[in-house]
Amino acid sequence: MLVPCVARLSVADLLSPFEVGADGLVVIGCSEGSCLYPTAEQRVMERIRRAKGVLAEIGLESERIDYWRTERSAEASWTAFWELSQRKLSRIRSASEERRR
Amino acid sequence: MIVAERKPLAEIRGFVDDYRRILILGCGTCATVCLAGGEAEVKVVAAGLRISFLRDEKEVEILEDCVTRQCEPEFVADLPRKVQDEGVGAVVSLGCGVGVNFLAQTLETVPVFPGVNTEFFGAAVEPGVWLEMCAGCGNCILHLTGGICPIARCSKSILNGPCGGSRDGKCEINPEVECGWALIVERMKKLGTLDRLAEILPPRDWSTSHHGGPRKVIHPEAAPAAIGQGKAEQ
Repeated sequence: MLVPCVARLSVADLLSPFEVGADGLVVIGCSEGSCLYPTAEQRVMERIRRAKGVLAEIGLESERIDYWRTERSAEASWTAFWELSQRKLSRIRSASEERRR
Repeated sequence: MIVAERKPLAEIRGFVDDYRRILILGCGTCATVCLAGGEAEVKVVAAGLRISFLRDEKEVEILEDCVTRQCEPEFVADLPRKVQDEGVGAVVSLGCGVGVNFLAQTLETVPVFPGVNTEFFGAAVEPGVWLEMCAGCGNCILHLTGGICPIARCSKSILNGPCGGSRDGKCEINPEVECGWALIVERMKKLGTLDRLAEILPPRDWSTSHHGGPRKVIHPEAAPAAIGQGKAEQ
Protein backbone atom coordinates (compact mmCIF):
# COMPACT_ATOMS: atom_id res chain seq x y z
CA MET A 1 0.00 0.00 0.00
CA LEU A 2 1.45 3.35 -1.01
CA VAL A 3 1.17 6.23 1.45
CA PRO A 4 2.35 9.81 0.86
CA CYS A 5 4.68 9.57 3.85
CA VAL A 6 5.14 6.80 6.42
CA ALA A 7 5.13 9.43 9.19
CA ARG A 8 1.41 9.81 8.44
CA LEU A 9 0.78 6.29 9.75
CA SER A 10 -0.87 6.20 13.16
CA VAL A 11 -0.46 3.38 15.68
CA ALA A 12 -3.94 2.19 14.69
CA ASP A 13 -2.91 2.22 11.00
CA LEU A 14 0.12 0.10 11.84
CA LEU A 15 -2.09 -2.41 13.66
CA SER A 16 -4.83 -2.55 11.02
CA PRO A 17 -3.18 -5.29 8.86
CA PHE A 18 -3.10 -7.57 11.90
CA GLU A 19 -6.81 -6.95 12.50
CA VAL A 20 -7.58 -8.65 9.19
CA GLY A 21 -5.22 -11.53 9.79
CA ALA A 22 -1.82 -10.41 8.50
CA ASP A 23 1.15 -12.20 10.05
CA GLY A 24 3.47 -9.25 9.71
CA LEU A 25 3.94 -5.73 8.48
CA VAL A 26 6.82 -4.18 6.56
CA VAL A 27 7.04 -0.39 6.59
CA ILE A 28 9.41 1.02 3.99
CA GLY A 29 10.38 4.65 4.45
CA CYS A 30 12.82 7.07 2.87
CA SER A 31 16.57 6.91 3.48
CA GLU A 32 17.84 8.09 6.84
CA GLY A 33 18.19 11.85 7.20
CA SER A 34 16.55 12.58 3.85
CA CYS A 35 13.25 13.91 5.21
CA LEU A 36 12.53 17.62 4.91
CA TYR A 37 10.75 17.51 8.25
CA PRO A 38 13.22 17.10 11.11
CA THR A 39 10.99 15.15 13.51
CA ALA A 40 9.12 12.94 11.03
CA GLU A 41 11.48 9.98 11.37
CA GLN A 42 11.35 10.12 15.16
CA ARG A 43 7.57 10.21 15.05
CA VAL A 44 7.20 7.18 12.84
CA MET A 45 9.80 5.28 14.87
CA GLU A 46 7.91 6.08 18.08
CA ARG A 47 4.61 4.95 16.56
CA ILE A 48 6.19 1.74 15.36
CA ARG A 49 7.58 1.19 18.86
CA ARG A 50 4.11 1.70 20.31
CA ALA A 51 2.48 -0.62 17.76
CA LYS A 52 5.09 -3.27 18.58
CA GLY A 53 4.23 -2.72 22.25
CA VAL A 54 0.55 -3.39 21.56
CA LEU A 55 1.43 -6.63 19.78
CA ALA A 56 3.62 -7.67 22.70
CA GLU A 57 0.80 -6.88 25.14
CA ILE A 58 -1.47 -9.38 23.42
CA GLY A 59 1.20 -12.04 23.14
CA LEU A 60 2.42 -11.48 19.59
CA GLU A 61 6.08 -11.06 18.66
CA SER A 62 6.97 -7.39 18.23
CA GLU A 63 9.38 -8.45 15.46
CA ARG A 64 6.34 -8.92 13.26
CA ILE A 65 6.68 -5.23 12.36
CA ASP A 66 9.76 -4.30 10.34
CA TYR A 67 10.90 -0.83 9.37
CA TRP A 68 13.26 -0.48 6.46
CA ARG A 69 14.76 2.62 4.95
CA THR A 70 15.31 2.77 1.20
CA GLU A 71 18.89 3.24 0.14
CA ARG A 72 18.30 4.27 -3.45
CA SER A 73 15.07 4.36 -5.45
CA ALA A 74 12.21 3.13 -3.31
CA GLU A 75 10.85 0.63 -5.83
CA ALA A 76 14.29 -0.93 -6.36
CA SER A 77 14.61 -1.64 -2.63
CA TRP A 78 11.22 -3.15 -2.01
CA THR A 79 11.88 -6.64 -3.27
CA ALA A 80 15.04 -7.08 -1.22
CA PHE A 81 13.42 -5.75 1.96
CA TRP A 82 10.31 -7.83 1.40
CA GLU A 83 12.37 -10.99 1.06
CA LEU A 84 14.34 -10.24 4.22
CA SER A 85 11.15 -9.64 6.20
CA GLN A 86 9.46 -12.69 4.70
CA ARG A 87 12.34 -14.90 5.85
CA LYS A 88 12.10 -13.44 9.34
CA LEU A 89 8.32 -13.83 9.41
CA SER A 90 8.63 -17.41 8.33
CA ARG A 91 10.89 -18.10 11.32
CA ILE A 92 8.49 -16.27 13.68
CA ARG A 93 5.50 -18.23 12.31
CA SER A 94 7.29 -21.55 12.79
CA ALA A 95 8.34 -20.70 16.33
CA SER A 96 4.84 -19.45 17.14
CA GLU A 97 3.18 -22.61 15.80
CA GLU A 98 5.68 -24.71 17.73
CA ARG A 99 4.73 -22.91 20.95
CA ARG A 100 1.01 -23.35 20.27
CA ARG A 101 1.53 -27.11 19.88
CA MET B 1 -7.00 18.09 34.51
CA ILE B 2 -7.58 14.46 35.43
CA VAL B 3 -4.63 12.34 34.35
CA ALA B 4 -5.03 8.68 33.43
CA GLU B 5 -3.07 5.83 31.86
CA ARG B 6 -4.39 3.03 29.71
CA LYS B 7 -4.67 -0.35 31.38
CA PRO B 8 -2.74 -3.27 29.86
CA LEU B 9 -4.67 -4.85 27.00
CA ALA B 10 -4.54 -8.26 28.64
CA GLU B 11 -6.39 -6.85 31.66
CA ILE B 12 -9.03 -5.20 29.44
CA ARG B 13 -9.38 -8.41 27.44
CA GLY B 14 -10.00 -10.26 30.71
CA PHE B 15 -12.92 -7.95 31.53
CA VAL B 16 -14.70 -8.56 28.21
CA ASP B 17 -13.75 -12.12 27.39
CA ASP B 18 -17.33 -13.38 27.72
CA TYR B 19 -18.98 -10.75 25.54
CA ARG B 20 -19.56 -10.90 21.80
CA ARG B 21 -20.25 -7.24 21.05
CA ILE B 22 -18.22 -4.65 22.89
CA LEU B 23 -18.20 -0.87 22.70
CA ILE B 24 -14.91 0.94 23.33
CA LEU B 25 -15.92 4.44 24.41
CA GLY B 26 -13.40 7.26 24.59
CA CYS B 27 -13.71 10.62 26.31
CA GLY B 28 -12.88 13.81 24.44
CA THR B 29 -11.78 15.86 27.43
CA CYS B 30 -9.11 15.01 30.05
CA ALA B 31 -8.49 11.45 28.84
CA THR B 32 -7.86 12.75 25.32
CA VAL B 33 -5.43 15.44 26.43
CA CYS B 34 -3.37 13.00 28.52
CA LEU B 35 -3.27 10.55 25.58
CA ALA B 36 -4.98 7.80 27.55
CA GLY B 37 -8.52 7.56 26.23
CA GLY B 38 -9.35 9.79 23.27
CA GLU B 39 -10.27 8.87 19.71
CA ALA B 40 -6.75 7.72 18.85
CA GLU B 41 -6.52 5.48 21.92
CA VAL B 42 -9.98 4.03 21.24
CA LYS B 43 -8.70 2.89 17.83
CA VAL B 44 -5.59 1.33 19.38
CA VAL B 45 -7.50 -0.52 22.12
CA ALA B 46 -10.10 -1.69 19.59
CA ALA B 47 -7.37 -2.87 17.22
CA GLY B 48 -5.52 -4.67 20.01
CA LEU B 49 -8.68 -6.47 21.13
CA ARG B 50 -9.65 -7.42 17.58
CA ILE B 51 -6.21 -8.90 16.93
CA SER B 52 -6.29 -10.69 20.27
CA PHE B 53 -9.73 -12.24 19.65
CA LEU B 54 -8.82 -13.10 16.06
CA ARG B 55 -5.72 -14.99 17.23
CA ASP B 56 -7.93 -17.01 19.56
CA GLU B 57 -10.45 -17.61 16.76
CA LYS B 58 -13.21 -15.91 18.74
CA GLU B 59 -15.87 -14.00 16.84
CA VAL B 60 -16.25 -10.72 18.69
CA GLU B 61 -17.41 -7.42 17.30
CA ILE B 62 -15.68 -4.33 18.63
CA LEU B 63 -17.47 -1.00 18.17
CA GLU B 64 -15.76 2.36 18.63
CA ASP B 65 -17.03 5.74 19.76
CA CYS B 66 -15.81 8.81 21.60
CA VAL B 67 -18.02 11.37 23.35
CA THR B 68 -17.08 14.93 24.25
CA ARG B 69 -17.32 14.19 27.98
CA GLN B 70 -18.39 11.05 29.75
CA CYS B 71 -19.21 12.96 32.93
CA GLU B 72 -22.13 15.14 31.78
CA PRO B 73 -25.67 13.94 30.97
CA GLU B 74 -26.06 15.72 27.63
CA PHE B 75 -23.03 14.00 26.12
CA VAL B 76 -24.12 10.48 27.05
CA ALA B 77 -27.89 10.91 26.70
CA ASP B 78 -28.01 8.94 23.43
CA LEU B 79 -25.83 6.15 24.72
CA PRO B 80 -28.50 3.87 26.29
CA ARG B 81 -30.42 3.75 22.99
CA LYS B 82 -27.26 3.20 20.95
CA VAL B 83 -26.16 0.39 23.25
CA GLN B 84 -29.58 -1.23 23.06
CA ASP B 85 -30.05 -0.79 19.30
CA GLU B 86 -26.62 -2.18 18.51
CA GLY B 87 -26.85 -5.06 20.95
CA VAL B 88 -23.79 -4.03 22.91
CA GLY B 89 -23.06 -6.53 25.67
CA ALA B 90 -20.37 -4.55 27.49
CA VAL B 91 -18.76 -1.12 27.38
CA VAL B 92 -15.09 -0.40 27.99
CA SER B 93 -14.75 3.22 29.06
CA LEU B 94 -11.50 4.99 28.32
CA GLY B 95 -12.72 7.95 30.37
CA CYS B 96 -11.52 8.53 33.91
CA GLY B 97 -13.13 6.88 36.91
CA VAL B 98 -15.78 9.61 36.92
CA GLY B 99 -16.75 8.61 33.39
CA VAL B 100 -17.00 4.95 34.32
CA ASN B 101 -19.19 5.75 37.34
CA PHE B 102 -21.43 8.05 35.34
CA LEU B 103 -21.79 5.58 32.46
CA ALA B 104 -22.53 2.76 34.89
CA GLN B 105 -25.43 4.75 36.33
CA THR B 106 -26.59 5.83 32.88
CA LEU B 107 -26.51 2.38 31.29
CA GLU B 108 -28.01 0.54 34.28
CA THR B 109 -28.04 -3.06 33.02
CA VAL B 110 -25.01 -3.05 30.70
CA PRO B 111 -21.64 -3.61 32.38
CA VAL B 112 -19.08 -0.81 32.06
CA PHE B 113 -15.41 -1.70 32.52
CA PRO B 114 -12.52 0.69 33.12
CA GLY B 115 -9.99 0.83 30.28
CA VAL B 116 -7.71 3.28 32.05
CA ASN B 117 -6.31 3.77 35.51
CA THR B 118 -7.21 7.23 36.82
CA GLU B 119 -4.13 8.67 38.47
CA PHE B 120 -4.43 12.26 39.70
CA PHE B 121 -5.21 15.94 39.03
CA GLY B 122 -2.17 17.30 37.27
CA ALA B 123 -0.54 19.57 34.72
CA ALA B 124 1.41 18.81 31.54
CA VAL B 125 4.84 20.03 32.61
CA GLU B 126 6.35 19.03 29.26
CA PRO B 127 5.03 17.15 26.24
CA GLY B 128 3.99 13.70 27.43
CA VAL B 129 4.80 14.34 31.10
CA TRP B 130 2.10 15.06 33.69
CA LEU B 131 2.70 15.94 37.31
CA GLU B 132 0.28 15.78 40.24
CA MET B 133 -0.49 19.27 41.53
CA CYS B 134 -3.84 19.10 43.31
CA ALA B 135 -5.35 16.60 45.71
CA GLY B 136 -8.91 17.97 45.58
CA CYS B 137 -8.98 18.25 49.36
CA GLY B 138 -11.83 20.78 49.41
CA ASN B 139 -10.13 23.54 51.43
CA CYS B 140 -7.53 25.33 49.35
CA ILE B 141 -4.62 26.93 51.23
CA LEU B 142 -2.52 27.87 48.21
CA HIS B 143 -2.68 31.54 49.25
CA LEU B 144 -0.54 30.60 52.27
CA THR B 145 2.05 28.58 50.40
CA GLY B 146 2.97 30.64 47.36
CA GLY B 147 0.61 28.77 45.06
CA ILE B 148 2.41 25.44 45.56
CA CYS B 149 0.22 22.81 47.22
CA PRO B 150 1.69 21.09 50.29
CA ILE B 151 -1.12 18.54 50.29
CA ALA B 152 -0.52 17.27 46.74
CA ARG B 153 3.18 17.96 46.32
CA CYS B 154 4.58 16.97 49.70
CA SER B 155 4.72 13.19 50.06
CA LYS B 156 3.55 13.53 53.66
CA SER B 157 1.07 16.37 52.97
CA ILE B 158 2.51 18.20 55.94
CA LEU B 159 1.39 21.75 56.62
CA ASN B 160 4.61 23.02 58.20
CA GLY B 161 7.60 21.80 56.20
CA PRO B 162 9.99 20.82 54.98
CA CYS B 163 10.57 17.67 57.00
CA GLY B 164 13.95 16.10 57.73
CA GLY B 165 13.72 13.98 54.60
CA SER B 166 14.25 16.92 52.25
CA ARG B 167 17.68 16.80 50.57
CA ASP B 168 18.87 19.26 47.92
CA GLY B 169 15.29 20.00 46.94
CA LYS B 170 14.38 16.32 46.58
CA CYS B 171 12.14 14.08 48.64
CA GLU B 172 13.45 11.14 50.65
CA ILE B 173 10.94 8.78 49.06
CA ASN B 174 12.55 9.10 45.63
CA PRO B 175 15.41 11.28 44.37
CA GLU B 176 13.35 12.07 41.27
CA VAL B 177 10.51 13.55 43.34
CA GLU B 178 10.80 17.23 44.10
CA CYS B 179 10.30 18.23 47.73
CA GLY B 180 7.03 20.17 47.72
CA TRP B 181 8.15 22.26 50.66
CA ALA B 182 11.47 23.13 49.00
CA LEU B 183 9.39 24.38 46.05
CA ILE B 184 7.23 26.41 48.44
CA VAL B 185 10.29 27.96 50.13
CA GLU B 186 11.93 28.86 46.82
CA ARG B 187 8.69 30.31 45.48
CA MET B 188 8.09 32.41 48.59
CA LYS B 189 11.67 33.68 48.48
CA LYS B 190 10.98 34.94 44.96
CA LEU B 191 7.74 36.55 46.11
CA GLY B 192 9.49 38.17 49.09
CA THR B 193 7.01 36.50 51.45
CA LEU B 194 9.24 33.90 53.08
CA ASP B 195 8.67 35.46 56.52
CA ARG B 196 5.03 34.29 56.35
CA LEU B 197 6.22 30.72 56.78
CA ALA B 198 7.19 31.57 60.36
CA GLU B 199 3.50 31.33 61.16
CA ILE B 200 2.64 27.76 62.18
CA LEU B 201 -0.37 26.36 60.38
CA PRO B 202 -2.74 24.56 62.77
CA PRO B 203 -3.98 21.00 62.20
CA ARG B 204 -6.62 21.11 59.53
CA ASP B 205 -10.14 19.79 59.29
CA TRP B 206 -9.97 16.97 56.78
CA SER B 207 -13.74 16.56 56.62
CA THR B 208 -13.71 18.76 53.49
CA SER B 209 -11.61 16.09 51.79
CA HIS B 210 -12.75 12.55 50.98
CA HIS B 211 -12.36 11.81 54.68
CA GLY B 212 -15.78 13.45 55.08
CA GLY B 213 -17.37 11.02 52.61
CA PRO B 214 -18.38 11.56 48.97
CA ARG B 215 -18.77 15.27 48.34
CA LYS B 216 -21.29 17.33 46.41
CA VAL B 217 -21.15 20.89 45.11
CA ILE B 218 -24.37 22.73 44.30
CA HIS B 219 -24.25 25.98 42.38
CA PRO B 220 -27.03 28.25 43.72
CA GLU B 221 -27.92 29.74 40.31
CA ALA B 222 -27.55 26.63 38.19
CA ALA B 223 -29.42 24.37 40.59
CA PRO B 224 -31.47 26.50 43.03
CA ALA B 225 -33.88 23.64 43.75
CA ALA B 226 -31.02 21.50 44.98
CA ILE B 227 -29.96 23.92 47.72
CA GLY B 228 -30.19 22.18 51.02
CA GLN B 229 -29.19 18.81 49.57
CA GLY B 230 -25.47 19.52 49.82
CA LYS B 231 -22.77 22.10 50.19
CA ALA B 232 -23.49 25.27 48.18
CA GLU B 233 -20.61 26.81 46.26
CA GLN B 234 -19.52 30.11 47.82
